[in-house]
Amino acid sequence: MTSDGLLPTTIREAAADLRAGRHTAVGLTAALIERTESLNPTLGAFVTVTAEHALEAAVAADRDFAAGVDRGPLQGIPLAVKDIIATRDAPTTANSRVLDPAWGAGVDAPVVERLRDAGAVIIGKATTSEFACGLPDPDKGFAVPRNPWNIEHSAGGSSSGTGVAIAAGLVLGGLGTDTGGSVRFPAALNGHTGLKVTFGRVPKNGVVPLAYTLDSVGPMARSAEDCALLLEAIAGHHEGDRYCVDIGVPRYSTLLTGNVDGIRIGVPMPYFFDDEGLDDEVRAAVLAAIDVLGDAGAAVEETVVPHAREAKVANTITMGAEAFAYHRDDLVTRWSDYGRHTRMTLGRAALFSAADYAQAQRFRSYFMREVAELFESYDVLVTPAWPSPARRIDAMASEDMVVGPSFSGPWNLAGLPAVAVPCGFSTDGLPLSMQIVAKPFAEDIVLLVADAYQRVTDWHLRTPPIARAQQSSLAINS
Amino acid sequence: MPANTMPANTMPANTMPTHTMPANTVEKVKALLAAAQLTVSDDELERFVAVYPTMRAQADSLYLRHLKDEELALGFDPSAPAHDDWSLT
Repeated sequence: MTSDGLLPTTIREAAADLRAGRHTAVGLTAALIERTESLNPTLGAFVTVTAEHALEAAVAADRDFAAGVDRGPLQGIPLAVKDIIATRDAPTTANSRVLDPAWGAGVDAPVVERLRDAGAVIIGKATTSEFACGLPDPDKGFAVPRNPWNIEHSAGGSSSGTGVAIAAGLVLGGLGTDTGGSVRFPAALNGHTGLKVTFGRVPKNGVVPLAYTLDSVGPMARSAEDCALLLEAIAGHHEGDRYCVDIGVPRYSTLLTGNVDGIRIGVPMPYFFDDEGLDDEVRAAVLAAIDVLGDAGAAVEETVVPHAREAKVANTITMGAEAFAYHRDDLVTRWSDYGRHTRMTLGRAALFSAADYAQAQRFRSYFMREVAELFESYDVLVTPAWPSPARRIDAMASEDMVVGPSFSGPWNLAGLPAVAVPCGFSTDGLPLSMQIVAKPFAEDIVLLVADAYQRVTDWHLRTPPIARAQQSSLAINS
Repeated sequence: MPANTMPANTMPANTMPTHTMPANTVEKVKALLAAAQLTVSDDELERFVAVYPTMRAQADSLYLRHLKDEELALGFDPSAPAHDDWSLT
């Protein structure tokens, strides 16, 4: 696959360009900042652009290249960081008037520190749904993120800005967080790849919490290979996160063989493919993608995920209860300072009981065991990543999360790795996406299957017209 | 100009308007919000009431008979393989 313009579209491509002297980190960074300054007012991808600090990091990367110092494939690569993750050079707002402005000031979250150690260039703080939940409220003074494929449509959430920035070519990758689908949702709607990691695979200290037993920080980029490169940098134990697991970090990118021969794919038809909330075009595209994997040698079989619908509910209750605990005092005293959708989302948790939370954890025990048995028979499960293409922003309500299906939340409940992978477009020109799920810490397997699919398709490399128009007007002054 | 987000008083499908609710549903929701010390607008109360029966039914769906002897997943540790043959990568 090749990129379609002057700027590299993937981390792997940019890394090769930088080492071959076709570009410099400063030239690449400056070009993407220029593109960001042009498109951000329309797309609302960034809360803060740290241009000066980014260029300083790019200068350092070029200096290292010149000195023969190579910190790995992220050296000199421009990235976005979701604005609930602390960075030392910009405030963290969580897109909220409620968060203490001093929160995280002057420090990097471990995941950011690791990216900087790898030589990455942080371009800025990307828009998030307020506190990683709810929908945008333009009355609160933060930009509404817009889908670059159609700006009247949703960019998904909550890692909206990172998703928009990648799809529009403002950065080559970035970080999101995922508690019920917040990496996979924007990846699906904006047409790129997003990996929700195993709970405990990546440290989440230095990140504004949403739900303590569900939150994860995950890589977002055009391709599965790029997600692997990002994951190699950010994964691994950190003593500041009590949930972060102390096991080795594979070189994920070296495990992407492109070979799915013999890989056992389970396709859970009930709920994931027959729920009335599933869009027909999504269903057809995902089934076609599964056929591609089958043609490549994977063994495909229909299966059942027991009580998947209830797993979505248990995830919702768990998320709601844990988030409410964090926000309660502010909800009581500063209700109107929250965005109108955020406070409804958080407030709904008050309608559940303490017993409901306990029962959700009992259900979680059961569900994890049932899913574990399923993975004795299958290496991965493949489902739609999201039930529909991006909907119009003005047609969305916070209650949609209650009444609609979620194909992502069950995997947060079980703590499993899952990747969203572009697999087509709707008749309206909006991206469609499948989800690949595996057992705990099998990020290598989900990335292998995703990468194998992307070696024979190019959905993940398509760029929206708004980005192509910009691309043609920019040149890198290397 | 691009559209903004949905107006606050717009109801999604599959929820019920307040005037069709049993009176005790409205009172239950008021009591739950009061217990949580939340002060909401009339419009917001209507939205909470509209979605409450669906939420309650969903929560009730978790009380499955075969979970009777199930323990909580507190101390959740996904690093611990649920089966002996689960090898970590």
